[in-house]
Amino acid sequence: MIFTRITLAIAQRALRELRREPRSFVFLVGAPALLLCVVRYVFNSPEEFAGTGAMMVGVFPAFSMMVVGSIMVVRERNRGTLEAVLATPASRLELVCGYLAAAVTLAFFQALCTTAVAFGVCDLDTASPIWLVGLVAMLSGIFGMSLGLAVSALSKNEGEASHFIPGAMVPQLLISGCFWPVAEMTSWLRTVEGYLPLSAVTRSMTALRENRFGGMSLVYSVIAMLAIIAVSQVGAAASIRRRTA
Amino acid sequence: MSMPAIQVTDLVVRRGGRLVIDGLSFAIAPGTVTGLLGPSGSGKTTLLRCVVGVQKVCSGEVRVLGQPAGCAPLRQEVGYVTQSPNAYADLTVEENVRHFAALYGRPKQAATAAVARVGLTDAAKQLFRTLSGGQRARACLACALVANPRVLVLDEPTAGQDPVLRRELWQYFAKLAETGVTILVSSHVMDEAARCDRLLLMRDGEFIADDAPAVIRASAGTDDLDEAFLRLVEAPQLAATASLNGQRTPATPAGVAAGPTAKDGSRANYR
Repeated sequence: MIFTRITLAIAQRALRELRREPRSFVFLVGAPALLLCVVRYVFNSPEEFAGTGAMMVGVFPAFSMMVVGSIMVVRERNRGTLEAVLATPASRLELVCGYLAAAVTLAFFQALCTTAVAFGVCDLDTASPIWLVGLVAMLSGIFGMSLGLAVSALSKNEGEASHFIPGAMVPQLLISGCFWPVAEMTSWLRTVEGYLPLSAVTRSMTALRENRFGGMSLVYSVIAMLAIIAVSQVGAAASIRRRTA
Repeated sequence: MSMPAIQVTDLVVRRGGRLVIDGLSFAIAPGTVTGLLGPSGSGKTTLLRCVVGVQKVCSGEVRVLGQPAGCAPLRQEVGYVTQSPNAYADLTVEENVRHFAALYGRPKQAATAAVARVGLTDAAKQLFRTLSGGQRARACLACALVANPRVLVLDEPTAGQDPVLRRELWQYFAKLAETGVTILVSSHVMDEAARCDRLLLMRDGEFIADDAPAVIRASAGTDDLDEAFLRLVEAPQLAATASLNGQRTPATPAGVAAGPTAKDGSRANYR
């Protein structure tokens, strides 16, 4: 990621806009924690909750940030500010990285809130220390934003972007092991699971729950997430057109 | 021989399958205010977008300050205000202008000065969404002015402004031009067109007249620019005469080719 003056200016602007909408801000930061509480009481005991719960600590932030990210570029295009920004020296990569930088701040508060509720309210128990779980939850949020930005850059309008939620995110939720153990799925679904972006989140969270400091499984998943973030940022930048018909 | 600030050669643009600009060529001298006039749908915005470099073109060349329009170094030099004035609705005027100052690498003081320049100092702390239409246009103008551009492309910047503000803005444009800034501005309002050094009258993607306002009035045979505009738009043969009459004008200094090319390819009347 490139931290330039322009990237930071765009991040600052995106955060400032969000601050003017306190309800969206509260929802974004608090929703994953709230959902986690619901999931906790879907199960009878903290022990039964642990497997799914740990995954959700990463999946909910990733999901909510993706939803936010998926309208970012589309919104900017629709209200006409994209044309003005692209006429300035700001590069397209700086623009999407600006949004990603804003996501870092948001993901921090979101992960703080989600992890606190997971361990404090839902009695989650993991082999890894809480701070590491929080850190990976934060990375999951940033990861979700980068996926959202890629969707956003590809979409013509908000309607099109919203189709990616049932079309791309929900299937991943279903297959990546949040609802049913991957090991018990049919073989072709297990193969598909191996290639889903969201699997990087669920696998790293499972690794954190099972092993102290996650082990190699966590290392691989984190590398996968970072690689996908890089690819989707470059892809998002490339699919924004400076010249339009 | 000075290099033209804007040089367009054989420009052809299609939008939505329709030929919007068909083989347009002209040049604009640096430090001038050029008005782009024409009926709705005549291709004014498309032409401005070409100069800024955000429009896909079929063929032809657009060079600004000697470089291809829209190239990275030029984005520092060209300010652009779009027709529908858009900025970040949930930010104040000052925050919007400061944001663009940051994108152009200009200091905060430049933002304060740009806000004052467009007469919005009193509304600086107001959210963009709460501004009137005219105020919005001025806020967006400030976002472009903050770049300290050498070329300013304005798409109907004075729409929705009261006469006093319009006059102030035009006086400011003239002052900017004196400092060497090249201004290309589209407009519907004829009384302000009179303030331009040179007018380009557009119809169906072609120039039907290209001259100083006084010459256009004379060739259309009326003192009223509004009436002159109507006569030229409605009577193509008169437009041809207008072009013929305008051999040499103060707005097109020697050395700058400033001629519309007719559809049949014959170079019309200017050298």
